[in-house]
Amino acid sequence: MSQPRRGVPPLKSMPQHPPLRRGLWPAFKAHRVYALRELTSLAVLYYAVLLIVALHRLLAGEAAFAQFMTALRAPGWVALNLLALAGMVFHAWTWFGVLPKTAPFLFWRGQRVADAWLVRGGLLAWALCTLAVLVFFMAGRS
Amino acid sequence: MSAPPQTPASQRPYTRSGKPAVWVLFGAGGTLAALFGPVLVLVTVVLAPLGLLPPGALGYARVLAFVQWWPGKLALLALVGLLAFHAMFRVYHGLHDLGLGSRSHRLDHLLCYGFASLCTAVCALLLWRA
Repeated sequence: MSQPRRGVPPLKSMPQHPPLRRGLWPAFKAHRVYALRELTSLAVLYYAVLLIVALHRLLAGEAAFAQFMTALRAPGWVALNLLALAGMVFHAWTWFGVLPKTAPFLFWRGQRVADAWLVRGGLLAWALCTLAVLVFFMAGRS
Repeated sequence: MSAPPQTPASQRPYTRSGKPAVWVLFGAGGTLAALFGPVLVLVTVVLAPLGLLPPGALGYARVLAFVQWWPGKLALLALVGLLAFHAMFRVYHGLHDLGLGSRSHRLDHLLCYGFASLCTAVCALLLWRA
């Protein structure tokens, strides 16, 4: 069985490639960003579990729900929730950033939609969703 | 413990992969978390406990009415379940990146996706009783 021939020369070797390190701190910035992105999944998991706890407290009655909300005002909880918020924002940012790699090809008038526009479209959708939810909750309610 | 001898993929009996199903849940959860996650965290667990929302916006009566309304139930179940599957997908792959996974993957699958399923089931049970 013959190997298919390619018209390109083989890739050059990289003698100056830095040695891979063992340990938790990755050597390359791209690897660190990747690790951070995967870590944000803990923020997502935390929020899912917190929603279940909130639902449980809600069903335990008005007093229990009020107590739960008051508990979340403690500085430690506020700090943790702000950290979760930061994780969520980074998650969203990276999610739309990799859209050109994860989304199927989109076509507009026979042309492929450029990667940059795919990312911009995602960020725009994010902004619209954020605005809609904020308006929904912030609109005056008696 | 030695590794089982690997037969080439072409000689192994064909088995359907569970990957597409897990990927759909991961992708749906990731999209949901990206579009609505930040603002929902901001509103529900930062602004609401600090009293920075208009009065009643996330009050007991309104939230209870939401989880007793069937589209509300479905929305909350989808949110919790998909976020859990999305997160556990990344936890699963993150553990493998750190070299902490088991060789057969079966136990890791069971623990990670089992936990996500458990979150979904608990949420469904609570919503059922609401």
